[in-house]
Amino acid sequence: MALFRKIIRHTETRNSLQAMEPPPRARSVAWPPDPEVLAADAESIRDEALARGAARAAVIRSSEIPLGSMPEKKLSRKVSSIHWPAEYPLDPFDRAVEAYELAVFFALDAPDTLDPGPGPIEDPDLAECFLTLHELTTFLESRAFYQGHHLALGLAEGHCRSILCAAEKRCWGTVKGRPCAKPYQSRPSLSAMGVRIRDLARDLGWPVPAEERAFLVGMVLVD
Amino acid sequence: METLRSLALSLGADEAVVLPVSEILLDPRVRYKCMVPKCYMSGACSHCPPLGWSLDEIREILSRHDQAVFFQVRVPSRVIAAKGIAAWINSGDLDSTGRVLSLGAHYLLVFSIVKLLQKKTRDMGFASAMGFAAGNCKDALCHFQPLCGEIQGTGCRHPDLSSPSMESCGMDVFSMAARQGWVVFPIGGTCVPESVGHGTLMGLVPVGPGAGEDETGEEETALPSAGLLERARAARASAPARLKSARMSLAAIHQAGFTPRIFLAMSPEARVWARFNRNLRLLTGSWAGAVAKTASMFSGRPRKE
Repeated sequence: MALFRKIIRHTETRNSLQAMEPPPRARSVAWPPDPEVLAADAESIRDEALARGAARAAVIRSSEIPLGSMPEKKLSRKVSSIHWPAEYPLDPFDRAVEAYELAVFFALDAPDTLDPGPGPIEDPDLAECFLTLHELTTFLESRAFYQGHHLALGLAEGHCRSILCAAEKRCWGTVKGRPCAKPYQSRPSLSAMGVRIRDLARDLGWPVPAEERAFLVGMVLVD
Repeated sequence: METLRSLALSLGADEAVVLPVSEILLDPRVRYKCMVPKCYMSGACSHCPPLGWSLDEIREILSRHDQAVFFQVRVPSRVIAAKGIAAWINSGDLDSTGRVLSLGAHYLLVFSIVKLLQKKTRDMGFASAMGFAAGNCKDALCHFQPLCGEIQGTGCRHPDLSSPSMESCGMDVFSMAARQGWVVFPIGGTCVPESVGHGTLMGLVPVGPGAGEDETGEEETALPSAGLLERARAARASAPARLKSARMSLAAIHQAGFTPRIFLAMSPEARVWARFNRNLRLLTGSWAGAVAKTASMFSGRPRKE
């Protein structure tokens, strides 16, 4: 029954995201950046996350984001994608995180099932939950972007290939010269970028599922 | 430097300033915006992240210059934020309203201004190792080709026009513009014209002391120096290959949905195309060269679906 309620809530979230109006009038980029405006915007994004179905959401400083090394395990072509393993040889992620001030970290209720990791998601209900998480992340990142935080960056748990391109025989972004099949939607997971999501959730006092269980969290690095 | 700033304005820029290289904002987050979520061209153009230049390399290149000309070309919101334009761009096809080609004209204008500013810089005896334009060059210059030439391994097809974008080199273009008092709106795929005042494309050409080497190894712009007779002989010898190439180009153009009607639809942006072609004439040295260069941008091969 609890799982049924979670799925209903995810469906409501997805419906509200898909029914969203075009973005409000975009705010022009400001210089110098105003820390009070940034704080207010981050809080509004946190509130938006909660209003759109997140079970928990918090504004955190980027210095509070615990970073480990990115997983390096090589995956077979059947499973790997441009975002897993995450390979950005010219762009150290820790330097990018340091440049942000505030982020919004949020969690959706997750069914108590095994985390599929980078592999395919066999359970259709779980797949629906991950898709909701990715759509919510895209929505919140977009909100931050149009508030004038042009460098807002969203990350969400789950492997984009399993969530968005499960029916494709390969990740097209890994083919030389071919673009990603889902541009502006595909994004790496927090785990793939080395973010220790369970440590962060514990620091915030959130309930944390066991290591091998699914944990539906996302983050928008605002500015 | 005032000469270069005035030149930028005369070549079609809407605003131009001279700023010290120290005011160029390099930010490690900028390249991530190309990759997360993944832009449709990320990894498909050799200048675009995750390829391209690292921040340290760009910092090193910029350190050899003192000042830079920073300019903007404004794009009407009805073009850059047209409903559905993001989907058209992602698909590689052209819309019948001509908005994709109109947007392309603005990007081409930025590329041409960058190259002409670099040319003038060198003519004046200064150095300009690299110029930085806006957007990916593959879409603007090689729209009808399935692959970027550098990624394909056959080399860049338009080294005389191609430049990396400011953002692909880690420059926080929006903040730099806002610092100059320019009004800049973030524009994404879900924009509609009413939600943004206008769009802005920007370019930057750093200028340093003395004559230096072109960092990108790009060729100086010029028509081939072979005489007319030699060129005619070469053309006759390669006629079958040229015919095949022309047929493939027509197939690629047809596949992209290009029709002569689009030219009519683009007429509100005719000024931009005219300015770009005048710049091409300056770059190539003749109207024949400008026409040949424009025609070369329509060459292509059909993409595999």
